[in-house]
Parts: sequence; structure tokens; C-alpha cells
Amino acid sequence: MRIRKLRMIAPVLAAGLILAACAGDEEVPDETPDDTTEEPAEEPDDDADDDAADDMDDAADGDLAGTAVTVFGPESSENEAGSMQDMLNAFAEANDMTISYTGARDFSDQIGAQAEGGNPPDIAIFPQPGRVVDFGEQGFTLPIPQDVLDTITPQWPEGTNAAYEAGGETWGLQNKTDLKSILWYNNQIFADGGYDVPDTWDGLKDLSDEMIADGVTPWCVGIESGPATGWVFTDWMEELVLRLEDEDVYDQWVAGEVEFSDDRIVAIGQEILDLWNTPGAVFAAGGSIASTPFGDNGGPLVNGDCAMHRQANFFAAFLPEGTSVGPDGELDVAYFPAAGDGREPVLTAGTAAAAFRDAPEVWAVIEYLASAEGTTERQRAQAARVALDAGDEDPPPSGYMSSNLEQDLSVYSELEQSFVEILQQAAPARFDASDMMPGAVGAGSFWTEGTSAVNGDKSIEEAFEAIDATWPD
Amino acid sequence: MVQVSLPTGLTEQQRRRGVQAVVLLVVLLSVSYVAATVAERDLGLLLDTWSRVVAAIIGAGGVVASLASWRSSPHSTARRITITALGIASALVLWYLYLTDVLVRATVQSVVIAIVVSAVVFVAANKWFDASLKDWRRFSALTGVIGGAAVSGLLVGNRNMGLFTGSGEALADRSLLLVPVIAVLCGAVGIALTAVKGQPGKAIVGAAGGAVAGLLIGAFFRSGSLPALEPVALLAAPLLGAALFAGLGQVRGRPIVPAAVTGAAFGWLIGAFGIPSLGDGSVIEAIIGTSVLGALVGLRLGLSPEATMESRIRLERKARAVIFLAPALLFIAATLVIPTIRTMWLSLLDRTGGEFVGLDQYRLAFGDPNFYDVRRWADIFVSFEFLVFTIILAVGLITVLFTRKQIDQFWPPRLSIATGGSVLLAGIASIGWATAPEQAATPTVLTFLAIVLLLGILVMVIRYLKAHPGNSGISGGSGMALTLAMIFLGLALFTNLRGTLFNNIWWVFLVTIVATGVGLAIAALSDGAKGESFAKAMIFMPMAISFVGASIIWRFMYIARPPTNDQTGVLNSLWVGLGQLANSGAAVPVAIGFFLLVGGLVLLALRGFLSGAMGIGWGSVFAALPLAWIGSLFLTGNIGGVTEGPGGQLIADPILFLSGTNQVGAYNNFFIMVPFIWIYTGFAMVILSAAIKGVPSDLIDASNVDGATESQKFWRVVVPQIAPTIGVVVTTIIVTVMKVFDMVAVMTNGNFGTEVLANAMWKAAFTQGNRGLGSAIAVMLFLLVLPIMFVNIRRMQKEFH
Repeated sequence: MRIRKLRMIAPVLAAGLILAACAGDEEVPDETPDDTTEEPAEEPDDDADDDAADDMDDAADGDLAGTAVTVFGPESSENEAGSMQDMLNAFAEANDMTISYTGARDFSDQIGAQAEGGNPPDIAIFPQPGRVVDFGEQGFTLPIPQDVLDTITPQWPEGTNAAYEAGGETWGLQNKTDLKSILWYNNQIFADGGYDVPDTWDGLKDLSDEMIADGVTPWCVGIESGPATGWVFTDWMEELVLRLEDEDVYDQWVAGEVEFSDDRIVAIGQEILDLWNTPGAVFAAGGSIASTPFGDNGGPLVNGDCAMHRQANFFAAFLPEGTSVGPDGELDVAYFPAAGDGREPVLTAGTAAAAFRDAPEVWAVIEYLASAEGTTERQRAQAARVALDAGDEDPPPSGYMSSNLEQDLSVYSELEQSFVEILQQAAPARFDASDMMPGAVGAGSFWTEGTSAVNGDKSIEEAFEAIDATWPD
Repeated sequence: MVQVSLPTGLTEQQRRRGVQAVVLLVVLLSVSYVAATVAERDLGLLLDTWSRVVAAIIGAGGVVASLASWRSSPHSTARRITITALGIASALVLWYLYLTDVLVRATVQSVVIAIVVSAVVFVAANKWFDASLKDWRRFSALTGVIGGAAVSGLLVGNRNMGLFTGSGEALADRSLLLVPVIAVLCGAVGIALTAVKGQPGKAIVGAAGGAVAGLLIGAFFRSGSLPALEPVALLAAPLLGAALFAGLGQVRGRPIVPAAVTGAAFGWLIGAFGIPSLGDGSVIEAIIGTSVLGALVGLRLGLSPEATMESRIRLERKARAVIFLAPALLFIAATLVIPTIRTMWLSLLDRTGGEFVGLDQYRLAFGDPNFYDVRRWADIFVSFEFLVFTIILAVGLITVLFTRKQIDQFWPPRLSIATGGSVLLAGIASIGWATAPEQAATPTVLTFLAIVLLLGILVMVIRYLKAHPGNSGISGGSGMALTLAMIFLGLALFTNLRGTLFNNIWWVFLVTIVATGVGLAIAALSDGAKGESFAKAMIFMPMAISFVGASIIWRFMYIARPPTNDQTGVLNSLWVGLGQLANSGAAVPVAIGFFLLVGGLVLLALRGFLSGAMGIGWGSVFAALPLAWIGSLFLTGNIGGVTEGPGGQLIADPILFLSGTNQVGAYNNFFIMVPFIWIYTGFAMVILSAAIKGVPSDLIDASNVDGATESQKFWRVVVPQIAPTIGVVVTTIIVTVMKVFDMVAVMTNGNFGTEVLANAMWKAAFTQGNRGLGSAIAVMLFLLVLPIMFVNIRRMQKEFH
């Protein structure tokens, strides 16, 4: 564990000494190094391994009885947060412990404040690998013990947790995998207009133009998302970099080796804006794309205000209650078209759990979250909730998914099983780029400058140059 | 002075009552304790002894206090019974809640602990300094014990120091044993210091004792806190400290040697523990660090002169003051001073607070074009707002020429040149505006001319006004025109100077001026009017709404929907409805209505001019012009939110209030400010209204006798009287606005060119995880607020003296 230099305590202590000196002749100077620079956990490494090793075995015997674990994450809708709690309750009841989940839409903001304030949850579910590593390297979270890794790693496709590794440690375990490359479309409009889901990006652009000519608004787009406004645009960028360029360019782009102002990246940004800015192409429920909340696109898509929407599998959680999805439903889904060069790349995202407290019960819950039992239980709970909402209709996808290889696939619908198989076998599959870029870009300028470009405040060149300027050296 | 002594001189009756009270308390305590135990068994609770004791105290204490209030209450018997019964009931409810609810139990226990600890510390501190008068040796010993316990306790608590036996959590517990050992040792040093008389001996004893105590402390340093001593720092820092303190001592006329030793101790502390990295050193280095420090501190104490009765009394007096002030000072230090210093320090570090990077974070902030954007300054002079400014300025100045009163002080050349110049400026600006493609070109020659002319006119107008303070000719219409011109000049700047920093400045200017101005106007106009209190209550009402709540309300009012859907935002449904009205058969009647209004105003203007009331005349003209313009827009159908589609059909064209683009985007800021103004106008109104009512009526009467007009009474009597209050309102609003965060965070989150410092700070520190940059922005915000606070405090001081 690295101990930082304590230079800053000097002036503070000096002030303290002066106060002490003024107070009376016989005050003894206070030479305490300031606790503000103290690392929260001083010796987690060794103990963590031993304790967790012992207690993981005990978990089944009920040695966790009476313990309590708090979990905090970004999933806050009733279905998502509710089924998360259901899943945790199943484990808690089996072990006679309590686990409470709290979800907040502005998790990304709050977790930083909580960690800084020394008041973090036991477990945080991070949506961004970059931040998992950041928190680990800053000493807030603890590395995953080896025995937990030994149990979990074989259960997931190779390299799943690579994004959470740094400095020889793994700082988080993936517990949810999102498939982003999905095109949602309105069955009725496609049937009425005789449209077919295109196989290629060019085909998709042609279809868009055809629909405009027919008086149909092809797209629903909205990129507003509170503090994270702009991430929908970054998703589109990532899909197209992965498709129109290739994985190598994508990786270099993530690493900062291919700049945003690179002609290839600018061209892709322009491609998206051209598509969106074509008159009549986009239905924006909030008046403009940049001021439409991303979750507000479900209603218009089902109502037929627009024909298509590109969003990850969790979009199901934002559909109006009772929406059916499938070949005979109101909406259907398809693979977001690729370039047509034979590659069918997949963009993924996901959440990973990281621990702030070193205790056997915490490691037991972390392991459970990523385990086949846990992900199966989560999907069972979420599918049940969605089915309840859907009533007699075919339920839409639950919104949860994981690529755990050992999970029970029978809890997924046929449609979801096809998604899961894509995820389990996808090649090339890439994790969401903005989540892996440095925070100043991935959670900063890529969002804000992207929003400026979409809103027309800046040209795409200006916006992308501004992003490059914020890339940390 | 605090008297801690037994009450004497009690009467027999009082004594008997006291005994009765104590017996009652003991009985009740026992009953309550037993009841808690029974409750524990019957309710299936899990209580520890401590919880039962506190429960007994709550129950018994509450009942005794209630009964005591019965005896001392001055009220009638019925009320006394009621009050006492209520007291007993609430004590029992608290007692029950305490036993059954974990949260209540935890809260009550914390409160009890806090009160007991505070009381003990307070009494003990006073007793400690009682000793300084009564028994110097005891005081010295006590001081040693307390100092040793404090230092070692903090070090153990911070895990800098500990016993290296055992493992895991037990380690910390057993390490507390170090505290009494070191405390006793330091106490012994304290006694030794009083035992030895005479200078060399005392200094030697002090230094030796300090060194031993330091040695003991250093020997138990934990591995994570061992300093890797750097010889240069270790030498330089104490020398520097000694020199600095010796110099200060010289200046303050104190003995130099003790001061130098104090400085050396400071320097050694910084050199040994502040500069080197902790955790890389050895135990020997830690012992060197602590024992030399201990020796220096001991030496300093040994060097202090023999305590005389006089100095002891002085010390005792000083100590009492400190004991009383300490809690408040500690609280301020913990919540204000230390965070401020720490933020300043963090702003010099990298994103994780690790490496020192100097001013790089500030450079990063200013290097961001979104932070400080003046690239479009030349566009100011070709903007629509600037065109309007020049035209109104010309009109206003011409008006000034015609409304002057005293011809003998007529000074035509300068004012005429100014007027002519502004007409010319209007011409140039309008040509520039008309020829500039999309208002975005940078016509250098025109811009240059416009700037020169603008400055020239301003200088001449100011000199004219200075030369003729009583005859500015500025009143009524011309005053209105010049004010309007300034507003448009502001808007011209506002739409072209962009970025976080400028946004904050615009917030300060616009919100402060509008909220104060409107508040003052309402306060003055409603003063004594019918229904005044009701109107004021309504206007003050928004003050009760939180910023977040107001932001959400206004966001709903601003919301835009796609053209194909109905507009759900109030403002956009009005705007689109207006467009539909202007393009329907009703447009002509509406226009006629407007023109009738204009006609009425023209008549009013004529009457004003003819009767010599120039203010009414010009005011009516200025009101009539925009109305006539709006009326004509109805005739052409060019008003409201509709556009024509390709097939000639009408399409709704809502305003994107919060996400407008480019030049229009500057107004996104303004629409976020509106709710803020909405809230703070009430605040300004209430305070200013109270001030206006406080203006002495004899002043008003005197001005009535002098034949002052209403506007003269207001501007020359009331306003100067309430000027200090206006100052308070203005500075309060400025400081509040400077820190604006919630409105922006809720309404746009800083997108669409509406970022402000506070929101940028939050984003940088917590969303992007760059603590250094967040701190740097916080420091800038602090520096911006500082001068205003300074002015405010200075004025308050002036008013007190």
C-alpha cells in the first residue's frame, strides 16, 4: 500500500502550533500527522485473502448470519432496482443476513462524494470500468481476492474482467452485461410501409431516406440524461467506429492514439449528424435531440411517432407498461446493421461490483453478484417483474442480461437467449469506449462537446478538437 | 471566572427539599431501571447495561424535571398541573421510544455522550487552570499529563503509533495502553521543570525530559508513518524557522533565544514529518525525529521564566477566555478554515491529489475555451443588440438636447458631437449589421470605428454630466432611453462573450440588477397602496420554494414538444397559440386593438408635451413604439411560434428556451436566471420595503414643503436614505448568485452554453474525478466572492462604530 507524501500537513500543523503557543506557555506541540491524508484501508491485502478464503466456504454453513451489507448502484428504475433487491434477498435469506440495495440515477456523481466523504457503501456497482480502476488505484476500493477470482473467472467469457484490471490486481467483477448493438423498430410501421430491416449501414441510411419520403419519421433520438447528457451520442459514435472502421482503430481511439480530430473519427461524427439533421428524420420528444431524455423515446416508438430507435437491451425497462416485443408484438428488435464487410461487431457495456469494506460477508456478496446463481436469480426476478407489468401480452426483454457461461439459460426468453448467445460468442466484441476513456473525456468532454455538436452549437470538427484538448497528458 | 464550589448558606427547608429531591431521583432511577429490564424481557429487546442506565436517567430525570417545574412555575394551579403532566408524559414517551427504537436509542446516546463529554471537558479545563493559581506544581504536572495524553492519543487514534504485538483489530485496542504511559512521563517532566530552579539547570531538565518523551513516542511509530528523513530539509527547516521566529521576536520585543527555539521546533516538525515521505523510513529515523522535537519543545519550556504570581494570574485569565471561545473557534476551524486551506492545497495537486503540479490545474481551466471564450468579441459590434443600442442611444441623446432646462448652462459642442457621433455610430453599426453575413463576420475597420466612437461618446457624456450635475437633462423619456440603451449594450456583450466565467458574471449583473430594481420598484410603488400587504405576500411567496423546486417548475414551463404534438409547456403553448392567432382571421381585430392602444398613448404623449410633463410625453412615446411594432407584426402574421411547411400548411415552431443554439444560446442563461429573479425579487422587496418605511416622515414633509415632485422625492430623498440597505441587498444577492448551482444543475446541467463555476466545479471533481481541477475552480469562486464579502463586512463595521 502506497503512503502519499504528507507535505500539506505542515502549514496546517504550523497553524495549530501557533494556536497552541498562543494559548499558554506550557502547551505541548501537537505533532500528529493530519488524518486527512490517511488512507482509509491500510492493510487490506493480506487479511482480505485469508478472511475471504475462510468465510466463502462458511457462507453455506450460515456463518454470515446476522451480518449486513449495503450495495449502491446506478440502476434505479423500479424493475431494475427491485429485481436487484429480490436477487440479493434470495442470498440474504439463505444465509440469514441482510443486504440492502440503493439505486440512484446520479450514481456517478454520488459515489465520488461518498468515497471522498469517508461514507461509502460496502459494495458499489460501477457502470464504468475506468472508474472501477480509478477508485481502486486511489485506495478507495479493495482488490478482489484470488479465491473469488478463481471461482468467477471460468464462469465468464475470456477477458470479461480485463477492463477492471490494473497494477496486477482486479478491482471489480462484472455482474451484468448489456448488448448495445440493437435496433428497435415499430412492427406496424414496417408492415404498413413494406420496409425490411437492412443488413448494412448504407441500407439503413437508404431506408431512413425512403421513410422520410413516405412521410414517416424514421428515428427517435434523445441524448439528455441529467449529468450524463450526451452518452447516447457517444454510443452511436462507438457503434460506427466499430463498424465503419475496425477493432484496431477502436482500441487506438480508446487509448488516445487515434485522436478525435482524426479524419476518420470526424467523418463518422459527421455521418451521424447528417443522418439526424436531415429534415424530418428525427422525432425528438423534448423539442430537440439534445433536450430529449433518452428514456422518453419508448412511448413515441410504440405510438408510431417514429419507426426506429438504437439502444441497448436495457431500453426494455423504458418501454411503456404492457409493450410486447417480438415478431408479432408492437416492437421488434434486430442487430444494428454493420458495414457489410463480413464482420459483425458487437458493442457491450456492463456493470461491475467493487468492495469498499474488507469483510467476509462483503466478498461473499461480490462473488454471488457475479456467479451463475446470482445472474440466473437476477434474470428470474426481473423477467417475473416485467411479465407482471405486461399482463396478458408477450413480455418485452427484461432489460437484464449477463454473459455468464454457466447461468441457466431457461430463465431467458428466446429473444434474450439469442442476445446472450451473441454476447457469449461475440467476436469482435468491445466494451463501451467512453466508459474506458479517462474521466475528463469519457465522463466529461465527450459528453458535453458531443452534446454541443448535436445541438448545433459547434461544428463536429470544433467539438472534436475541443475533446482532444481535454485529453489528459 | 467560574465558581465551582458547594452551595453554602442554605436554609433548613431548602436542605430538606434537596434531600427529598435526591431520594425521589434515586427511587425513580431504580424504578426506571427495573422497568427497563422488565421491558427488555417482555418486549424481547436486546439491551446492554449502558442502554438501561440511560433509559433510567431519561425516565427519572424527565419526571423529576417535570415535578420541579411544578414547584417553580408561576402559573395557576390548573396550568401547572397541565404543564407538569405534559412533561411527565413526554418523558415517558421518550423513555418508551428509547427502549423500543434502535435509531432513537442511538441518537439519544450520542446526545448524552456529547453533553457529558462537553461538560466534563469544560469543568476539567476550568479546574485545570484553577490549579495554575492554587498550586503551580500540580498545574505543571497536569499540563504535562494532558499534553502527553493528547499527543499520544491523537497519534494512536490516527494509527501513526501502536504496539506491534498481536494481530488485526486487537492491535489498535492494546495500543491505547501507550497513552497513559506517555501521559505520566510528560507529567513527570512537568513536575521536574518546577522542581529545578535556576536557568541552565531548568533548560537542561526540560530538554532531557522532552527528549525522553520523544524517544518513547518515536519508538512506537508504525511502519506506515516512519519518515524517510532528508538531511537537507532536516537542517534547513529548523534554521529557517529559528531565524523567522527570532526576527519576529525581535520585532515584538520578546527575548530572542526562546523565540528562536520555538521556531526551530516548528521547523524541525516540518522538516522531519512534513517534507519527507512517510512510510519509507526506519524506526531510528522516527526516534531522531520525535526526540529532537521533544528536546526542542522541552528546552523552550525550560527557557521560559520562573512563573511569578503575576504571570500565573495573566495565564489564568487568558486561559478562561480561550476555554470559553475554544468550542466556537474549533468549530469554525473544522468547518471553514481547514477546508479552505485544504481546497487551496488540493488545487495545486493532480487529479487524484497525489503529485504537486503547481498552477497546472488553473492553466487547464483557463485553457478550456468553454471556460473563457472571447473569440467572438468583434461580433459585438455587428450584433442586432448593438444596432438597437446605438439607435436608442442616439434617440436618447437627442432627447437630452431637447429637454435641457437652463439654456445658460447649455454646452452644445460636446453634447452635440456626442449626439452626432452616436447617430453616426448607429449608421455604421446598421451598415455593418446589414452587410455582415449571418452576423458572424469580423469587419475590422467598422469594428474599430465603432469602438473609437463609442468610447468618445461615453467620455463626452460623462464629462457633460459631471459639468452639469443639476441639469443633466436626464429625466423621464431620455433617462428611460439611456437606460434601455445600456441594457441593449449589455445584451450585445452578453450574447458574444461566452464561457463559464462570463456566464457567472452575467448571472451576477443581470440577476442583481433586475431583482434589486424590480424589488425596489415594487416596494416604492406599493408603499401605502391599497392591498399592499397581500401583494407583497404574494410576491414574497416564491422565496419559500427551494431552488430545485423552482427549477423544476420553470423547466416544465419552458418545455418544448415536437411540432406534431401539442405543446405542454405553458410558455410554448402561449407562443404557438399566438402564432396561430396571428395567422387566423382574428389577427386583424387584434392588430386594431393594438393600434387603438397606440393611439391612446399618442394622445397621452401629446398632452404630456403640451402640459410640459416631458416624462409622461417621452414615456408614452417609448411605450407606443413597441406596441405599434407588435401590432404590425399581427398584420403580417410574423409573430408567434408557427412556420409555413412546404405545402403551405402551418407548423408549430416552439422556442427551445433552454437549448437554443449559437447567438440565441446566450439567452439560455437568461431563461435559467428568470426563476432566480422570480425568487429573489421578493427578498429585495421585503428588505427595501422595510427600509422605505423607516425613512423619517419629516424628511418627506420637508421635501413636500419645498415642492418636490414624486420622482424627486424618491430619487433625492428616499433613495439616499435607504442606500445602505440597497447595498446590503445587492451584496447579498451577488454572493448568492455567484455560487449558483442548483438551478443550472437541474435545468441544463451546464449544457448549451449555460455552465457556471459551481456546476463546473462539481463536474470536474466528482463526475470526471479531477479533484485538483475542481478545487482550482472552487478557489477561483472563493476569490471572486471575497472582495464582495470584504466590502460587506467593512460596511457592517462602519455601521457598528
